[in-house]
Amino acid sequence: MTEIGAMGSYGVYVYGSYLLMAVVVGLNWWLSARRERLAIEQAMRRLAAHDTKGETP
Amino acid sequence: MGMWTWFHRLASPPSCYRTAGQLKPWFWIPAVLLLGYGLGTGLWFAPPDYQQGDAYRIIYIHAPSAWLSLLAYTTMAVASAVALVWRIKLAHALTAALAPLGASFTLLCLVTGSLWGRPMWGAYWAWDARLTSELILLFLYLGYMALRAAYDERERADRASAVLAVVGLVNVPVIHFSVVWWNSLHQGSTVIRSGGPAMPTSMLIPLLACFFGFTLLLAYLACIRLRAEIVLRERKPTWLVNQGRDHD
Repeated sequence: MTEIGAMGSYGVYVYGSYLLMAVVVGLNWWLSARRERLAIEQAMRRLAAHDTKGETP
Repeated sequence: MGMWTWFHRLASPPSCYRTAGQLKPWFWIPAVLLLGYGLGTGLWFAPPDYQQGDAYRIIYIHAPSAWLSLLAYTTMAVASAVALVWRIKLAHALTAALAPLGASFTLLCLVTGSLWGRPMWGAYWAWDARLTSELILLFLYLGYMALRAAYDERERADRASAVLAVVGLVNVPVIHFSVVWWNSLHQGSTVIRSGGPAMPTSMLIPLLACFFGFTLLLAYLACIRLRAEIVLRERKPTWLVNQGRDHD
């Protein structure tokens, strides 16, 4: 098993890559879920107000 | 139910919205398991490479993100062609949903490639055929999204961006074969190559787990974004009330 820090000078590149991946996946998940939630809320508000304009004329 | 009946039913927004919701757990649960195993094993348990030492462990992120960058773009191009030929609006929605995901994994591929290149090649970047064609892919994604944003009218944005997505497909085989066609600094194919994979099983199995895991993760994220696109495109999604927003 590779211990943390045992990668020597390569550790910063390897762990940096893993950290970056976690950030990209986390951001993608958060932004996608947020977009879905906002889209549904917007549609619900539109329906409640009987506004049939929508985003596409 | 015949295939075409099934296809037509799926192509209706409420049906597609519901199906995408039902598929989500089928994607994210195995994705978490596969990535947990693949990334953990790749980082801590797989043996070091005889030439590259531990630096090669970046492959468990770099190679799957490169695969996703190509998979997402190819799917976008095919969906755009379908949308242009058969005027299926859902195909435009799928393309728009995939673009930011594909762009982010292309960026991840480029940056992890740089982080791998620095200790191995002595440089973060080289104007090499593989690196340059992958950078062009990032610009295609960004161009696609910028073009969509430039139009106020969604239908015009759909058509214009779909043409760009289809034309840009020419770059995909260039990326894949760049290491064969040109004398590249980038290493050749490791997994899919004649004579079998160029790595031992102890390294290969976690890598394959990462490939499948990241692919399922992309499918999961695409489901979420597609649902958002469908709802945004509906003038009056009364079916949303009937389905209930939480009834996936």
